[in-house]
Amino acid sequence: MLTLTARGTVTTCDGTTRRDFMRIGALGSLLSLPQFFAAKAAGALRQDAPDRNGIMIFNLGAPSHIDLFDMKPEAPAEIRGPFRPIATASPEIQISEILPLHAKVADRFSLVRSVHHHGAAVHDAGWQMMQTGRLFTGGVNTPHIGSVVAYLRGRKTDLPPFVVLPELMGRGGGNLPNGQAGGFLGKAYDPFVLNADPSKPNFKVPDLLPPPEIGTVRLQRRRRIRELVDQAVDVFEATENAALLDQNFHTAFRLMTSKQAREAFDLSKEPLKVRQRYGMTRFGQCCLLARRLIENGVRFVTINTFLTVFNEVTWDIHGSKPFTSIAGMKNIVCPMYDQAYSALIEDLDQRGLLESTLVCNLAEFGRTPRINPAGGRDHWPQCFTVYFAGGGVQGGRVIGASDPIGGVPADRPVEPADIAATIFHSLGFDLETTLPGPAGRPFPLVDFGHREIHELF
Amino acid sequence: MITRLSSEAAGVYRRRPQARPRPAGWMFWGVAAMAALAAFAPYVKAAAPQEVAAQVDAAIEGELKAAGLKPAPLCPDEDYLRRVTFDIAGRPPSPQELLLFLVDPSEDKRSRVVEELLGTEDYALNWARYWRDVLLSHATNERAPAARDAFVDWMARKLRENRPWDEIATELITATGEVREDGATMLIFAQQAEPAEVAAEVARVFLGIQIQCANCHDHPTDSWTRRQFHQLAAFFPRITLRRDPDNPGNFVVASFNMQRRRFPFAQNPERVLIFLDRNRDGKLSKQEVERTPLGRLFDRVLQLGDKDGDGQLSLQELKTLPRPQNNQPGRGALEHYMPDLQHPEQEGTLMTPVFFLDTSVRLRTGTDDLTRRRAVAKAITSPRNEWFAKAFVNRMWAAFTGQGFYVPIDDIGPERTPQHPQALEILAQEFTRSGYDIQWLIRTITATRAYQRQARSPDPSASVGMAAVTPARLRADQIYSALVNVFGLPSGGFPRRRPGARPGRPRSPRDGFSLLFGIDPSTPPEDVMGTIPQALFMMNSPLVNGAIRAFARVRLPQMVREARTRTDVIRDLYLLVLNREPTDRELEIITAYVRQSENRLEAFEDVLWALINSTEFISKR
Repeated sequence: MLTLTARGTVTTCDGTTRRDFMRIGALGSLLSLPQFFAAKAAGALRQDAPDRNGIMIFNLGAPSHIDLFDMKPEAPAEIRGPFRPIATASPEIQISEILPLHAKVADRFSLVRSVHHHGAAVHDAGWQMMQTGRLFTGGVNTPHIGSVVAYLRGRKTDLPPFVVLPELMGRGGGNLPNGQAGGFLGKAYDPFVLNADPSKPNFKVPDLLPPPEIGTVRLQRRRRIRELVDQAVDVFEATENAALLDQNFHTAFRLMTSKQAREAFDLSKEPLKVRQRYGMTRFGQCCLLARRLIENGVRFVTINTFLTVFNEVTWDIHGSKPFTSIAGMKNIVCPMYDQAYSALIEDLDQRGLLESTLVCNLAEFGRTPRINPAGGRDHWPQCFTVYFAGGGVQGGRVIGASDPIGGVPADRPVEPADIAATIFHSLGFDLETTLPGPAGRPFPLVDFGHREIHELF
Repeated sequence: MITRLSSEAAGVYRRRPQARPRPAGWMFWGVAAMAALAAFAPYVKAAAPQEVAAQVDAAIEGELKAAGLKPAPLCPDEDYLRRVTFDIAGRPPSPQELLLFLVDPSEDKRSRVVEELLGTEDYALNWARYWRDVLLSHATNERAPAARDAFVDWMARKLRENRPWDEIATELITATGEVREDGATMLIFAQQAEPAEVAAEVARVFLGIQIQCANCHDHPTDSWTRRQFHQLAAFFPRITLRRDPDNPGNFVVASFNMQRRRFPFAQNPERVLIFLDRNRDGKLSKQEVERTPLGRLFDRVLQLGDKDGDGQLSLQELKTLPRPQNNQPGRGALEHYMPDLQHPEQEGTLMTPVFFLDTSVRLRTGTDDLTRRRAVAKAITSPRNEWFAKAFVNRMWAAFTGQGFYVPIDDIGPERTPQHPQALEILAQEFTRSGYDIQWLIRTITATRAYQRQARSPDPSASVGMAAVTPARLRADQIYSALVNVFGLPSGGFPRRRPGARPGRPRSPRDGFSLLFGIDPSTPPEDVMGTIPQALFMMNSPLVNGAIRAFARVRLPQMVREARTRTDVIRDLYLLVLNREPTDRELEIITAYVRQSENRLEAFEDVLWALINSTEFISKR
């Protein structure tokens, strides 16, 4: 049933499904769950790959590459926009004057200015492509990169392997799935979602802890009675669906009784100065929480900078209601974003975590080179900028280039699958690994012909 | 008239509120038989559910046998009652109902209980909420939840009166009115009255056909073309969604039939120039147009179109004036245009309404809104269109047995292959004959052995399914009702904690529960796995724990007084929470646990917690 091939990848003759771990369980004590994951991971990881984790900052709404990361000061006014570039800590990088703190840490991140995709210019399509490496087609929902990490490596500690902060993305205009789920790997590999705002004074993870009057002894007693009940109905218990719901309980129970998990989520353990350095904003405190989670064994954290593109001030600067204007980006979005990101990079660096933590800032597309009649910019998947720091990435570089108006890649075009490959590569995975796809067919980790952006490393 | 009298005299015929003559040719019988029966068509007696159920079972069991599969045995009475009560009424049976059912010796008790449940308000509410979730799960309009209560009211009324499915579908497609008053508007409101979205949702919900991929390109795997999709959308361009002038928080779905162009003269710039360009310099100046209809608008048009800034409009500038956009969500347009993907800024191709499954259903451009929508509703619900019945039968069958003939249940159609096609065919034809009688279908499904089998997970290696019922997690509302039942609260549920919250935010604990546990009812049960936050909620939330404490302090002492022994109390708890007797082992261990505890109240709290957090409690078995 389970085959570990010489190449190291895990394949199955009858098609491993997302219920594979249940089946392994059915084999009795042949292989325990952690052993199973260890075996899978051993197959999927490169030899002597470093143990790295990932933070994906997803800039929902899509920042304007021309106003921020890929400025065109020589272009006509209707293209170059209102902002000027400034020098940074890296001689190779110039960045927008509205991201002054980015400039100070520019020696630690590298920009890729030639990203583009062929999906529709709707948010949802870009969310799918940038978070899973593929556009969903034919009813195949490909898994989020974090879900793949969770599937291949399992949990490291009591904490879940993949966490999304602060909430899942809302619906986009296209009403498509947003790529922030386990997809064909199944709900078992969906992210753990915080569903709370860590900048709120009374922040706590909803329902993470039992009521104070229930002590440890009673909690264990409760669990034992529950075990008894679940074992009682043999026929029912034997079903895979029931077993998965049961698995779900145990994961949750371990999470709630874990001291480590409790402390990881407890932001009050951080000195006020640190919290303020990140900024007392939802995004800022999410960045801080992401660092704590990584320190405590979470393997992949995705932070949504915003929850939706509608009726919220976001990167989605169409210029007209219900979207955001360029001024809104400058005055509201950029300050909080700039502060939090620079704090995260400095903090990880000071703690010696940057080498083992990949931080990537992605978005679903860029924005139109020409400013529209409403004074904003619209969707533009033809060319945009993403950036990477840590996780083996050499900072201070610029990879690829756009044409003189930021309209199309002029040099080294990069596609979403290359970005996914870059993340998997940084986290130590062998890009030849296969996943159990729909109907049990092997599904490549990244599509053929796509490799990591090697210039980053 | 004669047929009507005779049919009503017979008393057993299905009664339709309004005798609508049905076109001949809708029956699956031969043409000759059809001609003879045409006069009776509206009143053909629906076959008895038991008979049809027997045919369906024969078909399914025949295929299972051919595949060398042995069907699971029928489930015990206690499982059946729990299953059927959840399926029809959306709640668990009470201990009294369960005991009465178990001791009832009559042969027909399983069908009698179906009859009783169909008559309850719980049935109407349960399925109204089911359909609310179906429609809201695919809403593109963020504000759609504002209509949820109105929809549930409306849908529950329809179900209570057992209105036929074609009538419900027609009203949803042709609805107009205020979204918070007239629940039938929710389908359109949820899709922002946007023609392409409404077309896609109507096809998905009523036909089970996912044609929306053909919005931007011909369907990648099916034969649906872009043109067919936009011809369907052309039935819906004239729906508008407007803010209610009297109540800005409310919206109105209405028809848009008036000519309302921003710059009508832009239709024919050449003519405009010939008429108005008095000095023949090829340009229009303010002076020239002063006394014409254009005069009033001239400054605005200049702003938009005067590219060279000379204060005049040339022919080229007139031609390139930005056009008013078509198909803006909810604004309404006279006609539907298929966008040109290469030139999205242009108007696109004018589409005439044609129904893709029956191209004889077509309308001219210029037809008014309600005529269009009634025409497409009629074509969809026509007995000649087999997919209307099949989509509904497939959905209901999956909701009851846990497995659809087609999976996913809302992706069927002529290009898909179902399992057990014969059983589906029988059910769909008889459902059509019944006049789309929803309760008839429920009676029939619940009468099958296929529904009454023990629960097992589908065997992935089996070539064909339905050898057993597929266990499924209960829907959010069912779990909530189960909690309400256990804790003996009035049917309104747990007390409200957040009055007056914004639409879309939870306004009551039931709503909040829906947000956490809610699933798209069109999802196959094996994909509904629950999440860690759900498990955490059941274990730790103040809502559940508070209810457990209150129960232990108020209800439990009563139970203890009424029961003779501690064992009886534990039995009662099992009946209440899990709707079954504890096993001997459970009884022994739990009795011992309670006896040994210093604080008996706490011990019972712990037992209750364990039962509520069991997998069994949130599952249909």
